[in-house]
Amino acid sequence: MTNKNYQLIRALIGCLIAGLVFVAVIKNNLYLAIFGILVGVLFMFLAKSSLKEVTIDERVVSVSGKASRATYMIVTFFLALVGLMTIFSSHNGGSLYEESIGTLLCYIAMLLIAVYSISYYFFNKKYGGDK
Amino acid sequence: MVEINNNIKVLRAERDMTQEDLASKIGVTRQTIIAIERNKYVPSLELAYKIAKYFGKTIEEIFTYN
Repeated sequence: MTNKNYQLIRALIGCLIAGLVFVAVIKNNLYLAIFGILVGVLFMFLAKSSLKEVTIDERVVSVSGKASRATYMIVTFFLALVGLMTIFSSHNGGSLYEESIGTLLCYIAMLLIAVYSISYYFFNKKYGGDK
Repeated sequence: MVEINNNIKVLRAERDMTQEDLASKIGVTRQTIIAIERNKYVPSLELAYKIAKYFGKTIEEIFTYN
């Protein structure tokens, strides 16, 4: 299978999963959603195993790393900013749950920073960085 | 901008190879070959060695640092 066909099949499988989950939500059927996801994962695995071409190389890994870092920085910054704004606005007569939502968003931002720090430490150590 | 240039395109043309052929021979994607030829991406030392070995040349004969 060529890379082009693989991309097409992957998109089709993605549509199939989305469709099945959509139907499952409408019908309020949890088992259908789980079945759809499992079948999708199975088809993805089969499609990937029949792929002969290289799809991931060092440039793809490098681009993924840069994209991940940019995503982390943007998401963490906005979560923290929105969280803090929500907390401060709750002190000026906001709704009942506003402060809780703001605190939750700030905690999620902190969790992201913690996970990033741990994974950075791990990979830094793996690739010979100082302790 | 990257200061490392290369003559992969010339070497490939001399051997009448497509980017797809070279990519499959050294185990990378065609996009990576395109990026290297356009000096948009500097390959790792390992990949540079693979390219040099494939063309039967040294790294210095393929890549030049300005």
